[in-house]
Amino acid sequence: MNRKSLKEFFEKEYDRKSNFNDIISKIRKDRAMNRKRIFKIAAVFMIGIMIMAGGIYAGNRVFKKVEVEPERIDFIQELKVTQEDLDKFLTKEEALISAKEKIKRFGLEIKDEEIDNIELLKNPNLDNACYVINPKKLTNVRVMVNAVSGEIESFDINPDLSLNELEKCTSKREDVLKGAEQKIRDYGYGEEYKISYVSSNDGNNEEKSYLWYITFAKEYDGGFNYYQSVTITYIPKINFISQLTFHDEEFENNDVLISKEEAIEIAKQKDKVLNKEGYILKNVDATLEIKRVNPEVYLKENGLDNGLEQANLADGTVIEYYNYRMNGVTRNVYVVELSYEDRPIGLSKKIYVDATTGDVVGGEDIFDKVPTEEM
Amino acid sequence: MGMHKSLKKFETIYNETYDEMIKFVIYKCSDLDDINDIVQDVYFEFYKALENNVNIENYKSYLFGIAKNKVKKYYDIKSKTSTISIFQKMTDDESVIQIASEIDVEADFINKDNIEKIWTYLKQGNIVWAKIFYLYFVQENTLKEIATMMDMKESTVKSNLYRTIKLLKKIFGGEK
Repeated sequence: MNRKSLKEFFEKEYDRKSNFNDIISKIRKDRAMNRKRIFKIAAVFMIGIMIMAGGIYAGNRVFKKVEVEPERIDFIQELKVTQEDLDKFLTKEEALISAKEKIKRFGLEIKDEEIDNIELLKNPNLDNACYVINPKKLTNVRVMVNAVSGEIESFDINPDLSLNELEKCTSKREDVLKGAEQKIRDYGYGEEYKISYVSSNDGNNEEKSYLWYITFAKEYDGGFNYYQSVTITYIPKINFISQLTFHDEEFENNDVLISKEEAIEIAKQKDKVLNKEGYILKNVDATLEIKRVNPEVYLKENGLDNGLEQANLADGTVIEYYNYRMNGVTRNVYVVELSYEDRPIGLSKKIYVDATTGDVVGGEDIFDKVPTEEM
Repeated sequence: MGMHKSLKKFETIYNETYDEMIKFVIYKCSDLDDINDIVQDVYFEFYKALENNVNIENYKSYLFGIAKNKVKKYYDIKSKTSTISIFQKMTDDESVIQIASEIDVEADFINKDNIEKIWTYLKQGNIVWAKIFYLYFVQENTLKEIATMMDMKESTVKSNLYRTIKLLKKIFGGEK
């Protein structure tokens, strides 16, 4: 036996790089869909209504600059639960009472004897916290409740089915979507929530799929707002919702006054500052989307060359990526995607250009990923 | 921890642990077609823990703890199998066939042209045989190590391996 050939086959079968790329895709999708548990809008500072420094004049109207300078935080300090938090947060008992009441909307019930524990999770970057009510059994519901409002942010529950039973829970795509939509309406989500994303546990053969991942998002002028959405895992045949996450972020439905071409030009100009590595630009395109303002571009532009490290500025300021709020407002932006000939791992860079003001208000993959040995 | 901080740490740990993780999931799972899905889920959850600043003292222990739970949960959701046997139960009175060191010699018919077919065949058949095959020939574990990992007698591992090779040789090696 040629062990080298054997090993090569298995390295391909369980390919490290391919699996890594799939995980990164999941992470990026997770971020894009904002499937994190903790959400909240924080202040993004707007300057006055008159033309001020950095403001722009568009046509006959004056627009406020979208400020993207992020709020600095002491991450480690904020991670701790303080007396101030406790004064602001619901108690565990209050959170549980709220969860018990609000879960009824979904036809579910939380019984005291089925609870394993309740934990408090804080997320300083998103300036939020939630209580997680963990059940003893997978077939009991697990609920995440906002620690301030007591609203349910998500829940999940496993069906009491065997593998054979579950695998038989297949259905035609049209019937799945019809059933899932009816379920959402029954929960009280109105017609403004429209199907915006569909996938399943067997993407290669939908006929065999028994877990369907469906997002219903609010639509604005043809674009979906995933920050105002309901995402579910739906099991057809038994008409069962195994997981639900609800997002309801404030959306500044700002006017679209900038053209796609203008947005591309703005992003290209900004990239001349950001592209300190000198990557060779290959292609540029843009789409109009609803995105959350974030400090990615700001941080790179202001001294943080590597998103993984810290930067020490001349005035003594230390910039570290995680010591900033990441919970900006959501706005209509052009997502300008720039791809390069030679950027590691083939990553493209996305720069957000505000559709009203033309400000660069954030981005994705602005910092290089660290190449692994194989990449 | 921010996205990029987390990612850096994640990539390092991913590369350090990947081979061991594949091996672990292979011998823990009950369907070898699920390996990549489970491994991805494990690392994805681990990444989220990093990003959410979960206090992790020992990354490796934590990661493999996730893997254990993931395998269990994966089969819970697939089959409500808190009771499913991770491995097929082997009887103690299985006949032991002395094969000593000829295994590798007898496996000469396995090559790069037929390994894919062989692995597909094994995956669809007796999962214990497939696991032992993988651990012995690919991971190069000893029979004793495999016996420990799979909670079997060494003699049982040996007889299973022998039967596997014998069968494969019949099917793929032209043995009558």
